[in-house]
Amino acid sequence: MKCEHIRELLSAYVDNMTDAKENRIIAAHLAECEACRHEYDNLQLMCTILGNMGQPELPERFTEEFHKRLLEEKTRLFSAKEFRRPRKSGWVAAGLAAIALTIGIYVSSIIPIGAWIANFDEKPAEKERNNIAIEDIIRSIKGWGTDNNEVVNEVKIADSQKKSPTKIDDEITSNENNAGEKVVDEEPLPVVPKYIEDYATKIKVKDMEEATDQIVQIAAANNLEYKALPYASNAQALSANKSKEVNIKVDKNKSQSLIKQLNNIGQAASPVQNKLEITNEYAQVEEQIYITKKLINKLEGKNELSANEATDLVELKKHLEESYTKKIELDKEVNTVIVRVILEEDVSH
Amino acid sequence: MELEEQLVKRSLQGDTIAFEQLVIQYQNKIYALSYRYMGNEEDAYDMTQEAFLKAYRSLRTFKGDSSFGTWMYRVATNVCLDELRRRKRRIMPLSLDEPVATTDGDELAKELPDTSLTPDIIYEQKEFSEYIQSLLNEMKADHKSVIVLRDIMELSYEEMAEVLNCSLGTVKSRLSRARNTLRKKLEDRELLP
Repeated sequence: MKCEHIRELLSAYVDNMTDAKENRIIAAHLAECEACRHEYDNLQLMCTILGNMGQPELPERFTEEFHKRLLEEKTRLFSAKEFRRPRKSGWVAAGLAAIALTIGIYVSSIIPIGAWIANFDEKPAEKERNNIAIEDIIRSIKGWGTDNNEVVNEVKIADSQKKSPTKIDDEITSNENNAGEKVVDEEPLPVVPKYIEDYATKIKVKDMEEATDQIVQIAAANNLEYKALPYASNAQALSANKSKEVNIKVDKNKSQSLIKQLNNIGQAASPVQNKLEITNEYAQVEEQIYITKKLINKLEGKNELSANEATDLVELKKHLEESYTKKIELDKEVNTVIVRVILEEDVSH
Repeated sequence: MELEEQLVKRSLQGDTIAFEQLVIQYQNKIYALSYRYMGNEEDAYDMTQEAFLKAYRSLRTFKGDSSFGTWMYRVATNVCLDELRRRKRRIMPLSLDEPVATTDGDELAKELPDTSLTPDIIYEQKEFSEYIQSLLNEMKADHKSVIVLRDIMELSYEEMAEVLNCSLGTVKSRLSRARNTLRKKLEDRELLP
């Protein structure tokens, strides 16, 4: 094996992350090659130095200050940021659930919290690849860091809404034809602020189960997806009496009429609107699409591709499709409103 | 000490005391991690608070198949890198050799602070660490993150893959490239033989 290949493996070799065969080859090579041995020694020395850098001490005031901020966070009224979008699979089709209710099964109450948590944010298994990974290709150009915003959960988009690879190719071609390389120098489009909105509406009811039943029936009548939580996730409700929460997904333009219907269930406080700005996240996805397209253009413009480049091209196309999917998801989120109904038992009765 | 899992469950139900117990277990590590990402104590302190608050807010997205600690590293890494990216974005439009335009239309030659120390003053361990930290500060975010997670915080490759949400192969290749970059910097400054 050439020095170049050996050196690529040295980092993993230092960590015992090479396999037995590689170990034999590397050891044999290091015994003979002084330059590689020097590099290996320095690598090891550097790792030792880094490991001995010591840890700074957290100032003592931290615990008290954090305690205060945590309480503020908890009592913050109807915070938009607390709102989380559940996976599509976590939502119960209203019709089905209504049937379940009529035979006496309260869907969410039988789901243990642990299982419910596990339902969130399943990470798609990423294909392992030993040379340059997609994010490296892109970051090497843009210098982006890791962007794993765990707040945004993965939601599968119906196949019909996914852009097919053909569609993507079409767009790339048209992009190339219309603007070609000059695209890079163009002024970025003006940023339009994007928001995810939700309404929190608190209703005092006499009978929690009956009220939940009524809400589910309203959701069913309007053919809306809903999710019932076994407890109220809202910070304000935590201090209150017995409380529960039902979240309903509705088109932005139909949210007001839904809230009106819901207000008949009990003694309703006026709903609080929350906005979570996702302009940056949206812009990042658009930027990813833009750059990925650029890179694909570059590679496709070549007469001949090396094996690595061909793999890169496949990865890039996959990444482009994923970015489109994410954009569609965000668009969908922007156009949908979640109405969070917080039910609170009215103890005065 | 209660099982971590129970603390997480109680935190999810709004029990801040349970959550604070989780914080106490990990605060020193998260602070150390943030310090290496941010390069100074003040920012590290703020980012540590932010990371735990973010964790509290998004606890529902924590899936129990990794440890809370690994998940916390991930949250903190994202918080720090997001902050660095935000700052970089503000500064980025300036290229290194372009003159800087002032508001009244004049142009100034750009002066960047000289962060490099000369090797001969680096005798003490503390200064040496600070010098290495200054080299880390100059690194690209993805390179910095693998060095910090592996060589300073001593995470396993598997944990790093969890934290960075990438494959083991990516961890390996990125770490190899990052270490090479740093090794060359140290050799150039004659800090390695």
